[in-house]
Amino acid sequence: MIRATGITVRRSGRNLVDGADIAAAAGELTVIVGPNGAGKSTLLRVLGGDIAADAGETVLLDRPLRHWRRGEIARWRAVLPQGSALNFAFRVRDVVRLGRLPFPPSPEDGAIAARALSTVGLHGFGERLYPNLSGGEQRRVQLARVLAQADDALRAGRGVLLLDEPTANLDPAHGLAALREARRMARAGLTVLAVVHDVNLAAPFADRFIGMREGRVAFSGPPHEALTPENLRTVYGVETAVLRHPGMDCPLVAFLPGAAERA
Amino acid sequence: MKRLCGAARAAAERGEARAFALLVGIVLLVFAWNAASGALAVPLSAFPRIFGAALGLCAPQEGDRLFAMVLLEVRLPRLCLAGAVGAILGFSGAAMQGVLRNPLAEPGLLGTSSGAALGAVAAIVLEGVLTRRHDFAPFMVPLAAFGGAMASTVVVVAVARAMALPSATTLLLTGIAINALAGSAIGLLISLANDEQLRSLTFWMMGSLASANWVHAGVVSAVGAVSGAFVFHQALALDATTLGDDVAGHLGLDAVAVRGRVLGAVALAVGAAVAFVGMIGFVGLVAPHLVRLMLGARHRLVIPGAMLLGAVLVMLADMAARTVAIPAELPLGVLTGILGGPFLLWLLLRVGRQGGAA
Repeated sequence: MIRATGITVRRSGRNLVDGADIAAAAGELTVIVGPNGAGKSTLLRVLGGDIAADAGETVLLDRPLRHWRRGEIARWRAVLPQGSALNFAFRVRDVVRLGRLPFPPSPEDGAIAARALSTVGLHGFGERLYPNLSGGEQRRVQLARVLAQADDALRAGRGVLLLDEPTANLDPAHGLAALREARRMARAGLTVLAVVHDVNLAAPFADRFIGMREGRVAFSGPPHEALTPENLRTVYGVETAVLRHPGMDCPLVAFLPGAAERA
Repeated sequence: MKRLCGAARAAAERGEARAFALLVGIVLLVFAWNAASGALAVPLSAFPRIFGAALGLCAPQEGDRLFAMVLLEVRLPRLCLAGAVGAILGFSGAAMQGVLRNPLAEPGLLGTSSGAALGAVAAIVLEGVLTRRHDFAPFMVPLAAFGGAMASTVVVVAVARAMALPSATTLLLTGIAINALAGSAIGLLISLANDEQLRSLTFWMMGSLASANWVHAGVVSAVGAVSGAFVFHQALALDATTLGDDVAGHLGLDAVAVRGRVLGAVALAVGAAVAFVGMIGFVGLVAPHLVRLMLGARHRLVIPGAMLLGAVLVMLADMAARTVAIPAELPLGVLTGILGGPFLLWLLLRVGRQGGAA
């Protein structure tokens, strides 16, 4: 589980995250939404240990983040950052196997990496060169690396998965597959926190939505309670019509551009 | 499907093993060729007798005396020094490129070479001013060069660390600033130098193995072996840092610490190499690239591969330096460029046609 209270990150005199309180429960997929610059990624970077918060307290898996040693938390927490540039011609399997770095080498590592690649739909891509892949394929390789890292946590039924825009650059089929996998990891007992821009893509899978605006949490709750026209107007400044999803038990958000232009 | 995957991996591993065998073979071939050729050609048939006699396995033969002297006292130490320097430049280039996430990085980038050059030039030019004697201790220039290399690297790393974000980019920019400062200081010293000093410092700045002996070869090999082994030990950490500091952190590594350790080892080795043979460009840049084209990007293959290839490049360049214009010697740095440049171009063109990535 993740509990962060009063998280504040100041950069150049501006609060990128401004006293945000968020909680994500084990066994659930929590999705953070919000406009560009709302502080979603910054918050995730605090939880991922990339930057230290200027104020606030973060607890991961019942222990304050600052009490976790770097090498130890890496066995329980896997992170997919927003973007990762790789200038060298690594083979896909070598990138995925880096996910096994926090663990002692094992003969299983190859099989774990291969399974992770199959999960993201890249079976048989192991020998390809990473820089020759498309943007979406590279994204899926990174996701596979994260899954390979989370394999032990998955078996233990305890751990944290932080995904910053796991569906960016992915076509609808692979985007849905990525979110389905995220929820599967959650159902196995992990705490999964993902930043997703497409509310409709995430709605069928998310257990909770957290809406952020100007570094603060604006709303939080299960999809039906969280995705309301009022909440969406608060964070995005856009008029919406929230419909019943024709095939799933979740809301379907229609953005109304005309209303936004009038506003 | 699974078997197919395994087969592809096995084939890739066989290819890697074959490439390594090829590299080792080339090293041995170049070594023997280099040892045999020069102003005095030593017949390969004399090698076993000479080595046997040197090791006390058989009686020395009178007819081999000159060959033995040339081989054991002149050529072999020089060849070993060339191999050690090449290996150091090779693995240092590979490590720098990985640690700075920049395929264009080379060992001179963080001020190591320019600091060494400043130290050496200062020693050469100021020697007369300071002592009025020209038979100053033979280790004066190497020591000054080594000191300069260490000092400039420490300055670069300290300045980069003092900044809020000791990222790869700040390190690079700090290195550029220090290089510019050292370059100006060198220019100033050169303008103070007399003709004799100019000659020796020009030679030093273009690199030369002409003054090699067993002590030089031993010192450089020892430093190179220790720091090379250390860098090789960091191979997986280097792989992880190429994905970015944050990803390395998520995988349980402290990227800043990895960078510091690796750069320290590299500075030590490059400082030692440059101290004895001067500036040799291009090998540190080109050898890792060639190896990546052959073996892929994993550092546990690139580092030993770049060591072997760097050794080959410097040994070949030095052979050309001493044999092309007998009895004169050409500057080594000129020849590494002449040899390495076209080879890299050829490989880039070949790989470009196959649709691979450099």
